[in-house]
Amino acid sequence: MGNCFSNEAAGQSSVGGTAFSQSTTSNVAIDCFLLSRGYRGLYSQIELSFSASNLRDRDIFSKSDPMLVVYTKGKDGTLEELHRTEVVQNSLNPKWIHKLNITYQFEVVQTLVFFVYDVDTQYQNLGVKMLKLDEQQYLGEATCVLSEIVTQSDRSLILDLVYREESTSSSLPRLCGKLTVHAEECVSSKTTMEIILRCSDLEHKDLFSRIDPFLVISKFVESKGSIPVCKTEVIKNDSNPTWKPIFLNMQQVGSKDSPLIIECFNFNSNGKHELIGKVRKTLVELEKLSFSGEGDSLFLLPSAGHDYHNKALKSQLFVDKFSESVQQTFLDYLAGGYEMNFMVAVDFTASNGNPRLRDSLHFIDPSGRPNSYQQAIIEVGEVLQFYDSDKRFPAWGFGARPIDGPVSHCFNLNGSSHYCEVEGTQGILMAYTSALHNVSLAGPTLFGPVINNAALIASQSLANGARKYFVLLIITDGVVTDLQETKDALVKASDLPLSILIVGVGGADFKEMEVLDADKGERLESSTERVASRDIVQFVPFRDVQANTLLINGGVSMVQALLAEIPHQFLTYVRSRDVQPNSRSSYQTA
Amino acid sequence: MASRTLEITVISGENIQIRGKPIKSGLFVTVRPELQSENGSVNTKIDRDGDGFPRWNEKLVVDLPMHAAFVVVEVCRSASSGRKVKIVGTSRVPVADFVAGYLPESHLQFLSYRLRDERGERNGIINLSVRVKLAPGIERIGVPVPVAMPEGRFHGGGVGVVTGIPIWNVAYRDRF
Repeated sequence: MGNCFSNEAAGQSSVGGTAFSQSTTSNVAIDCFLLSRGYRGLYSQIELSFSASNLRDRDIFSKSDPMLVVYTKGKDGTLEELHRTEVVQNSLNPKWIHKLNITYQFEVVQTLVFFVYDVDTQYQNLGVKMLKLDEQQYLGEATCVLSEIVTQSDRSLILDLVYREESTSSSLPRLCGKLTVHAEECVSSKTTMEIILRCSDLEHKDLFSRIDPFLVISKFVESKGSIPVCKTEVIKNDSNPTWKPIFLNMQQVGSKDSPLIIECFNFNSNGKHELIGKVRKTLVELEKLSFSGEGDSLFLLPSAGHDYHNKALKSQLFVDKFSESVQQTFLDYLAGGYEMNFMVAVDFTASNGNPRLRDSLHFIDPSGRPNSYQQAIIEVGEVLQFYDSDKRFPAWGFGARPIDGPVSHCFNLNGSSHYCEVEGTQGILMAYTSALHNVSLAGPTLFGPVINNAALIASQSLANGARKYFVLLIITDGVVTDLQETKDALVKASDLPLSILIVGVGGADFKEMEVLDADKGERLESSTERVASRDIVQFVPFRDVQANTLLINGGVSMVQALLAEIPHQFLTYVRSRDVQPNSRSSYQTA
Repeated sequence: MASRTLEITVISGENIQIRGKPIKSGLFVTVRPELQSENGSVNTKIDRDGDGFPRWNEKLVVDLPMHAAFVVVEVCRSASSGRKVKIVGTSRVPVADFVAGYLPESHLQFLSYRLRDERGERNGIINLSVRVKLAPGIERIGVPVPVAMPEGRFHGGGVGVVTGIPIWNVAYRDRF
């Protein structure tokens, strides 16, 4: 986890992105905390450009003078203005020049709404921002989700502009032209720097105790102070440490001239890490240091009472390696045709409670308020559906007895005995509701069969050369009964293009489940001493979505933090196997 | 003797220790099919600066007899003055893991295993990737082709019935 991605093969853990975790591995709760403070995981800067065709002609003597306004639509439907293009004179097929810079986030459904206006001549001398939109002539509107644009092979989406008439609300909106939105990923997202840092003569106040140093690299932002970008591993007992290579993506940093603060801390297991020294450098300066081989002194702010100059320490920072490379990004793979396939497995064990009773986790509220299972399905399905071209999702249940049969640990949610897929997130919800009426809850909680089924689908797809990555969502209310069998299934599946998200609902104590998530512990080991080649499991306990959003500023829920990991897991998979965005996934015969 | 060619890339090791301390350098790996003497083994170069996390990234080619059930991977410390070569960690990799697993054997597969030292204690992890190349002259029965199924329909799920048995395994099952 974390944002300093390592493109090294499985086994080399990537450097965590958290600033003050107590161990060198990160965890979801800390990531959420940092997300709310402006720290961003894997994200990309995209530039959107716009053009339209066949616009309505409103002016009598000349053509319309169109301008485009872009809004983002929040979950509650409110519109927030993002951008206005310039006014193009006298054209029904405008190509606007002003582009919109927007941050693409995989884990959020980013809905965009576009309004086209004809700007009257009398206003055209004012700056575009000064225009009052209700004084302009409305030409039409369109809406889409950002993921729909980036998953097109040419990264362009053509939308129909509709004209909504307020007076006759019952009539269908009229079509009036087309809007083309094109996305370009900013080049800075693709450039990655590999840096090896070393320090010498690190000093500690207490001369006789040992130093366990680690570095935190932060970006300095004028208004917000420093935002952590990357941190190294902790090296035990070394005052002349060389850390493992750090990978910095250009867009995390901004530019090669952006000021970075490199701080060296002494790790303390109680979390209060002591600052040994720090230095402020840009990437350009680090590059120079790597050429010259010289070191630069670390500084320490003096405690109150001394003079106000930063005290230069004997400790020095060296840059042993600085190399730049251009890498394929997640969006490159999407444009190359890679798809994310969503699969879902729902826990139907008796511990959920009788679905007819209000306190059951499976209770379907007649008022329409979704239960925890439905919330999790919607939250994950809503995001992933845009990355699947046929929107057919395998859906299973486990731990229940279908009407005329023994307990099944992997039955098709749609009730069929031939195929397991449903259409869209709505299809999953409908199959879930009807399954509740057709099965009786039983037990125990076993994940093995579901994981094996998902792994089989992923392996068949891979062997057929399809460019697909699979995401299995398991929603469960209880702790898994046979942990070792689950681990065996996970280890066998760890070499496949598969990520598994486990969401725990209800009030059970999920401590034992955390062992499945390698971020929180060690790599999974099977009963035959085979070790998982990748960490494919992410686990998070799911509290009610209302409580979730209250807990964390900025409305980032725990499930979103889970989803945010998927592009990273996907990239680790494709990079370590040297799969290029445009190649067929290899199925090589001898 | 019927055999297959196995390309095994020894990638890296983790947490390999001797007497409780990570080994700074000087480790190399030998690979041989079981039942073969030490003379049949192939070595990697010595890792110089791994510091507990040695990296070799070296591809070795081994002849894998049809009846071999395991490939033995040993991490050794190189001999130097006063020391002889010492086996620091061993793992027996089941051939079935890459021949009869989810993926066809000719597909590049990434595998990792627990290492155990001479006393049988756990000592780190070894990361490998393997690919089987068939010896020339051996015919592959059941060349894997995409199974012709109606688009988008998977014959999986149901109560414990898995109908999608990978075809490529059939040939080798008959041989064993």
